[in-house]
Amino acid sequence: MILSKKIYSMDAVRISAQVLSSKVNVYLDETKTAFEVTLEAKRKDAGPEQLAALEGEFGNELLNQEYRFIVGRFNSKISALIVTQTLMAARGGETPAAAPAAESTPEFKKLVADLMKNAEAEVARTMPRKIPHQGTPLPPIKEDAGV
Amino acid sequence: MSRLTEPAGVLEASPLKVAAHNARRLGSSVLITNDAGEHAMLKPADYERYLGGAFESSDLIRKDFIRDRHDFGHLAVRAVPRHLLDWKGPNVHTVVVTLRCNFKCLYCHASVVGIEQTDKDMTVETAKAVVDLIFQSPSPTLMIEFQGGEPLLNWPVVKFIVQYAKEKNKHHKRALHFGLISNFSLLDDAKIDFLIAHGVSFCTSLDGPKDLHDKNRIYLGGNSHASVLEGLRKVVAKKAAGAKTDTPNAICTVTRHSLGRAPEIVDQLVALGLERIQFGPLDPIGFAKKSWDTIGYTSAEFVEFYSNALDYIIDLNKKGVKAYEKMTLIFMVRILEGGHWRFPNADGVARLAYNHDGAVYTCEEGRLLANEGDEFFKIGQAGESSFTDLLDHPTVRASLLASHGGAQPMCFQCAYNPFCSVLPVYNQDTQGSVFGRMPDNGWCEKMMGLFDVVFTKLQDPEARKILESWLEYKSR
Repeated sequence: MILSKKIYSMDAVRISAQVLSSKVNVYLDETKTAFEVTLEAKRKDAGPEQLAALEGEFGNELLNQEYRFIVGRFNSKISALIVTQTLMAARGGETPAAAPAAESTPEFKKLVADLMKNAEAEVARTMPRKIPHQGTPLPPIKEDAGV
Repeated sequence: MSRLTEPAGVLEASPLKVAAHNARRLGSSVLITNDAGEHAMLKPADYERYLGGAFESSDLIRKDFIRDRHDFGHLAVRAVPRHLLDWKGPNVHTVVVTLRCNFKCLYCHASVVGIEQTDKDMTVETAKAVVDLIFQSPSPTLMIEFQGGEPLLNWPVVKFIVQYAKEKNKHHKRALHFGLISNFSLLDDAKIDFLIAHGVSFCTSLDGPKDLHDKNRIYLGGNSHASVLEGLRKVVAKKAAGAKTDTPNAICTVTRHSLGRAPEIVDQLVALGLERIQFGPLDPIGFAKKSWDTIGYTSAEFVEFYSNALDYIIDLNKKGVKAYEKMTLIFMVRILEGGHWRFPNADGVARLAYNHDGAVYTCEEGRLLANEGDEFFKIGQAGESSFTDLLDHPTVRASLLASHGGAQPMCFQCAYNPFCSVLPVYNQDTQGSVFGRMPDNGWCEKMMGLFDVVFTKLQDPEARKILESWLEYKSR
């Protein structure tokens, strides 16, 4: 593919190559006015149809990336601000609440230890599991629900 | 209908009168929306006059479509929740207590293991670490969802998580909820009684009539459809006998076999006394990709299925039958009330998923992708990572940026942007990056199609009245 430098940036070519790296190897050369891109399908048995589709997908991705740069010029700052604020809110603000002190008491720790002990005993008791319905059909039920 | 944004009838907009908005032609109307999540339907001629600064109404002023009449207080009140600027951390926590399963569903079997493989169970120690991590989220509401595999195969750990979380919550005082997502095949009276006593809600999968359900969901040791109905009836019977529990929910996963059978599926759920109809579309990601040739469909085919189902449910409503569709309800809340209600898909910030080994993912879909070898969405490890470690992970920031429509080509011009959800996992798996490429993105095509259906229905006064009445189900 010959890509005019008037339309496509090196960044767009590189990002597109990265995005499609699971499908194609991308070889790049350049002249003063254009990028020369050679695509090699990673699937060795790719036929002409698949190769054409990959070329089209690469072209779509190039346009997508160039378009992204344009959108970014308008909106990247506000998007970054919003995402930062969202992350800050999600962590509970600048000073997230500490764990309740009651969780450090010996009583609570004993209660948790007992719960764990009981659960582990039940795991030990029921392993390997017996599957109640395994191998035996369920009793017939009245199929009155439109079935 | 084209997904590309049509150019406005008049290219030059009056700079003093016309506020920032996006537009989409829908039939004989033009839908306009703005960043506050407001919308209005205009006749094409009025839209052209609006663009020229010669048309305004009290409705357009109230909704902040008139630039020199902006109410910035109103704009802020609407925009803050929509962008999650006041969101207090993840509230939905999906805990996979085992990968083992006694079913072999067409779209899921690659992600689960056989029932003898107990090394894929979550241990009690890991479960404790997961609960501790969940409670580090500052969210005032916590929903712990048990998933699998089949979660009831690791029943002692389900019980432990419920008991331990409730003990912790005596000190944390959150609104704590639990949900069990199960095939119900192992649901006996003792388990039901425990779950009801501890306020755990029930959810299962019911894909429709017997032939359809059994084709999708193969029970290794019995009758798949019958076991689901039996479980549903048991819980419904307990509720009828006075037990304090919600009506169980049943999600219908839509496969190619479901297309064209929407009324039968709805009838099945309604006949069981379930008012909530919920369709789960398949996406060609993770394990489902492997069987896509036999069970998959195009976005347009799903939209057609959804449209037919919605028509049918609306007709049932007209006949006095109580039923609503969950996805539509979510859309209606976003469209009519604003904000982001339920599963905004802000992965890592709104929801998290925990694998059986304690690995933490931005969402359940990200965990499923990891089963296929792509660990991109793994952001931490219970017992090692703190909650702030999770939020500081670059994948969370990248996912959030990708979910923010203002920075996405095509999304930032889309009239449905204020109401839509982006799934970065979908983009990553189908197009190689969390940001995706919207013009040929199947998720985008599906979402635009669904919104076309809903906004078209909203133009019909009788259908609108019914859809608005579904808002009463919001609190259930």
